Amino acid sequence: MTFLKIKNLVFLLAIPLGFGLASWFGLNAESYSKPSRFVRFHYHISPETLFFPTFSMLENLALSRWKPGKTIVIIAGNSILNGYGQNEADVWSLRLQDELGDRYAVVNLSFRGALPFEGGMLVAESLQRRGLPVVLVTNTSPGTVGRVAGETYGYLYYDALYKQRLHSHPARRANILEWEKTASKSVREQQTELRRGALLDSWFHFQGLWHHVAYRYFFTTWNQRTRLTFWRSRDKYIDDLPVEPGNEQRFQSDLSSELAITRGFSINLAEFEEKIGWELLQPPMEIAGDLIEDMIPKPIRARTIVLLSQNAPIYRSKLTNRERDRDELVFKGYAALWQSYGFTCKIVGEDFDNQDFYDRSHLTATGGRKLALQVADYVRQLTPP
Amino acid sequence: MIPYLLRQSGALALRVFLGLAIGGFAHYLLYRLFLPVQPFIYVAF
Repeated sequence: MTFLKIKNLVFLLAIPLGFGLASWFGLNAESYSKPSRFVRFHYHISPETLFFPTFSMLENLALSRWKPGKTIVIIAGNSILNGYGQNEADVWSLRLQDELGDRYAVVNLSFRGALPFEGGMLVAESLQRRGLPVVLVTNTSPGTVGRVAGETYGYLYYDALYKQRLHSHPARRANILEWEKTASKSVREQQTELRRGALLDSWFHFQGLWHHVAYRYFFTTWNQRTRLTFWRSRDKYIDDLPVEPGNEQRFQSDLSSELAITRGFSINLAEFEEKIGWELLQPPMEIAGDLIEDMIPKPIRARTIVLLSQNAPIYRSKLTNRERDRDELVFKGYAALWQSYGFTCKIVGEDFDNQDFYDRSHLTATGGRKLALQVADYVRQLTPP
Repeated sequence: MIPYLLRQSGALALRVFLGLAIGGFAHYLLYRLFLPVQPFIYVAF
């Protein structure tokens, strides 16, 4: 063999070696990589800026706070539980940790715009499978259950699924496949791509490595929010989610659209019968019940607190008496529905005042403190000493 | 003789380095291809 041939052979062998080494680094990164000084997922460590935290990052965040003897309290849910409207130092989950004390490790894995069982629930499921004591806190509005796949944070489901972190729950996969059949062609293609990506990632761990690089060293993708500084590593960015404005600037958004959203919480979920009054409509309840049954494995239900978040009193007070009756019936009815499937379900925000709200749905620091006190009670009731 | 061997080993090391870099880049491309953003060409550079 000539020296030229040897050089070419070495070159060709070095290519798979480089790929293999990168995969090995990725596998390692999955065991330790996580955002440091973590309080919550702010813009720069979220999909809004093309940073898609991996399932292992979420799991590492929870595990890094756990010690034997502690119960992990995982907060899933949407922007309300993400603390949108609160300073990083005032985020309600920090108050919840203060309130619960050392017996618990609270980690806020909620995302803005997330459905109640995207992301955080999958981490709770994975930790429960490993035998760790877990409580899951999530929130939604009456009638909203959603799937674990199909929306912005659905990639976390495939990530966890192909890395075999979840309870065996065939109904969930069947439901998602059934839903895909009725979805548009582009949605079906998107889901197929997510699955392929997650399968390849379970072999080559590219998300683990390159998200670790993106967080610690440099980012490679331009995006609207970070613009000219897109290359900066994400650990350099601070949490700049909006904080509560002064009283005079609050509730300035269009009243009619906010009222329409407030009414929308119950308008399609109950009907008025002259002789009986308001009655819950059965089809939406059955749809919600079927989704709960299919999406959420039984073992995690008994350890889950579902919060039904009420709207700010400034808007609720503008509803007519009849609308308020409907609102009350729907919230109570759906709380009972969740409970009938084995969850703890509580309505929150009913007794909060306008000072506790940043806008129609998000809470200020004072609202967050009230929420933390209530949730701490619910967590203690679920985990007696 | 020695300068010749040095040159050859330098060339060999260069090929090892290039091969490793291409393998690493292919790994990075997988991450970029599966980043859920479209169209790819818009975010590629």
